[in-house]
Amino acid sequence: MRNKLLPIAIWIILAAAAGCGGSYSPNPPEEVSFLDRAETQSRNGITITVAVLSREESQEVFGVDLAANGVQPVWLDIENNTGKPYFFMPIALDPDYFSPNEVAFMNHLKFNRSANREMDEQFSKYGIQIEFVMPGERDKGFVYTNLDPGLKFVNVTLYEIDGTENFFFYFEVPGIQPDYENVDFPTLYTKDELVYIDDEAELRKALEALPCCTTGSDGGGGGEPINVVLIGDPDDISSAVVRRKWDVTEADTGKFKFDLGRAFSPEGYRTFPMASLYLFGRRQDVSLQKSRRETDAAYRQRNTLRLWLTPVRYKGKTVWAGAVSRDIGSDLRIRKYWFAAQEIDPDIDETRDYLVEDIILSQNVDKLGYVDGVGVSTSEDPRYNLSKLPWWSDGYRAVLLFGKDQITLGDLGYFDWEDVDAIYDGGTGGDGTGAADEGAQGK
Amino acid sequence: MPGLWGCASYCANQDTLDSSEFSTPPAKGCKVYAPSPDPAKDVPFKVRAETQSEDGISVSAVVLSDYESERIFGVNLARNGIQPVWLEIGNTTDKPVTLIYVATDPGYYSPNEAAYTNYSYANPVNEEMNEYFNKHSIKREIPAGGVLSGFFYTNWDPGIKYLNVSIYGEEQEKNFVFYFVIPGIKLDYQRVDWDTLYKKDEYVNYETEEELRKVLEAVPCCATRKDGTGENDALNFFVIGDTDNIISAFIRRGWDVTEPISVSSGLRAFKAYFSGARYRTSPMSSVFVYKRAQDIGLQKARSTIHERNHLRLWLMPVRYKGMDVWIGSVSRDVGSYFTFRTPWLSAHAIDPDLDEARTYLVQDLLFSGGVEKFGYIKGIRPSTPDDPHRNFMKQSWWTDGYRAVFVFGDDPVTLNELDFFDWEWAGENGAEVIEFIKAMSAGRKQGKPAAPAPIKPD
Repeated sequence: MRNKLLPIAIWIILAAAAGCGGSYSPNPPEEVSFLDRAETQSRNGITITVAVLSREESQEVFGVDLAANGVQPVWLDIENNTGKPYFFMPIALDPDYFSPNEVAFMNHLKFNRSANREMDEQFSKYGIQIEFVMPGERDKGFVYTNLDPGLKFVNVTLYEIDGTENFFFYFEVPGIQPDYENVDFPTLYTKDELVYIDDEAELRKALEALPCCTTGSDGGGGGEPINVVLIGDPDDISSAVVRRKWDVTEADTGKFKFDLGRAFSPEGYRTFPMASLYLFGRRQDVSLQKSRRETDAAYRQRNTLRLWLTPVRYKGKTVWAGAVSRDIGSDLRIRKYWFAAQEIDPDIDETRDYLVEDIILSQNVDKLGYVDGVGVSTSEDPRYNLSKLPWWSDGYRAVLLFGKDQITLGDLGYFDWEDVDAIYDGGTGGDGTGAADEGAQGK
Repeated sequence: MPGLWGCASYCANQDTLDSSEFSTPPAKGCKVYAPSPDPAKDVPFKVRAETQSEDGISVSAVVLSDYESERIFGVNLARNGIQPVWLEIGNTTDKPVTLIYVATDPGYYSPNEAAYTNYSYANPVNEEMNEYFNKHSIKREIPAGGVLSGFFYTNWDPGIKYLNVSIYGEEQEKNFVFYFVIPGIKLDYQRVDWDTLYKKDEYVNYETEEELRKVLEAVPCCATRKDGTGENDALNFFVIGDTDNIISAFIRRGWDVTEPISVSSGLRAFKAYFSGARYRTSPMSSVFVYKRAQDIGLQKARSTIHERNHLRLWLMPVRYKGMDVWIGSVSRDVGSYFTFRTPWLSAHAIDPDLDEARTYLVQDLLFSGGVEKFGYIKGIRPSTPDDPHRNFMKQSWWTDGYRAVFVFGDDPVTLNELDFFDWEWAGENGAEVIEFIKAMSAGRKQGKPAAPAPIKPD
């Protein structure tokens, strides 16, 4: 009997030591390759280098799975070659950033005090000093931010006594496969198919001529309206939508994959795959979404924006046809497998107006206008989408032209087209000083 | 889908009771939707309305309590995180103006969406609910000379709500800023009898910065036991100003007020401890200065109850240029653990690097636009990880010994208008930074654009 129990006892002790005690083995950041993806901006004697760590990279550097706790380290290197001290303010980058000891505490092991102490030291040592960077000095280290999957917007705000400097970056973070990576954009249109337009009247005609609505995969069936048009360099458009906290969408692999951790984490649903709608005979090229993150409503409530590259180029800029709608109901966790319909807000113009306001507040929009093309429908006589759900619209599509510079909203320009009476004929306003806009006060 | 089971079983019962009606549409009225036919008449929420006007535009606003919104809309909206705000916007200018939904609440709910959260499965009253929510919602566009009123469906906030009604008109944006104390929740500062806290002749007023500095430096390092003995949490900042200006700056930056410790708040905290849920106004333990518990507790929750920044404020019997002076203690909760030291069996583990939380607060308040003048003073014995202070929960903490001093003004201040006390500065580079600040202050006094002389690094 005793002989039989002994190996079991040894096994239990070993398991306890390995499983609960655990060990801790981080690597210095210099040995991990994330710096290859770093981006650098220089202005007025300040040089900023930023890199966002993927899940695997942060695991390598810190020896623990930070993403599991919703933490995403951002590497910063701030070089001050001016004559003035600059104060780095991480609160503008993430109003809820984590402190080094906080991140360490999340990952503390149950019965291993020395490893825990080592962890505290590791996170503090690589955390960036939050204080004035003196002239000629350099400050580098990590800011522990809240996890953003897919695309991350990084705003580095430096304060000197008489003002602030802002540096904006956005990154594609490895780890998920966004649906647009499956699209081979250069081969979408041949050279002959491209239409170059430099004139506003012609642009208006081209945009009015876009199909009214999306279709099913066979080109038939009901669809949702093409109610927005985005014009600009892809980089400018993405930086604007990312700044307004839209998320990219993962490609749907079509495989049944049940991820238990994700089923109970609203965060995991920020990039959840989206159903395919068709325009020009193909599925949307890019899907973007913005889900409600504060509550568990992320499973049910999100705004979705589907974009298709059109063959039109306006003053050399790409033109994207878009369909925006507001998912108000069915649970994503159920929808995918039980084929529940995707409930949308039938007052689809409300969602379009939301998008216009939201994107304008990014301060990247030069010009706004409206064109016809969807066709009028009403709540008494609605149209129906693929899921046989009703929607109605005044028939206008919003046109947003993106620029390189920051446009304060008083300076927003207008296309002198449809006079969409009531909504934004005099234009909208706002300088983004809403509570959610960090750093706006400093500008 | 809330209400699915309740309604389904109720409908099933009806079917069995009246099987002859089987072929008629399923159970019409199986659940009755009975919203208030005339909200303003049925529920006297308008008595709390606050009005502001500027350049021909007037805005009245009321935030509904959870009880009021349930009475009016006939469904529990708070449960789904929705807090209706009643707005009335008058436009006497000769051009239409627009209410910018997204700037007023970036995550607002559309009427159909707010209604949908209360749908029950295949229930004919869903349609009625949609109509009601739409009919009583406020539209974006206010025509020239017109008045519009209705509800705007915002995200739910407990205690005090900061509401920035953003209106675009005449090519410029106007922000009407309101703070509402929402009925239906007890708050810790409401139990303080402000009039008897100090006698009138107990207050000492100071007019000069040097006097102020001496008084604040002389404040003991730490909070104490109820009898005034021992060293508990560090007193690591001071806020000076009109109390309304101070609290509104905190609320603007997303800080929440705190419920006093009671059986119900304790139970909620206990539940939140085990579920890890968010409890934005969870009670705080009492910490004593002047032999009394904090007058006001404020907190900023992250995603769970375990992680939040929290601070406590005590009113001092001191005035600076006639303004109130408060002692503060701020720390960062990094997690919770089980303990018998508190009545609700859980306590927060604080970040022992206390200056980290102070630095967070400094950034947060400077961005609030409410701070006019800022500086640091000493007053706590510096300590290190190897030789830390310990509070009464036996948690260690360490600090460089500096305290932040904030003076709040009436008008919004942008960061580049901020003024500084040229006393001392925290951090490794503190000595150099203070030289810059002195140079800048001197420059500003002479009316020069402040361009401090560069210091060459060693």
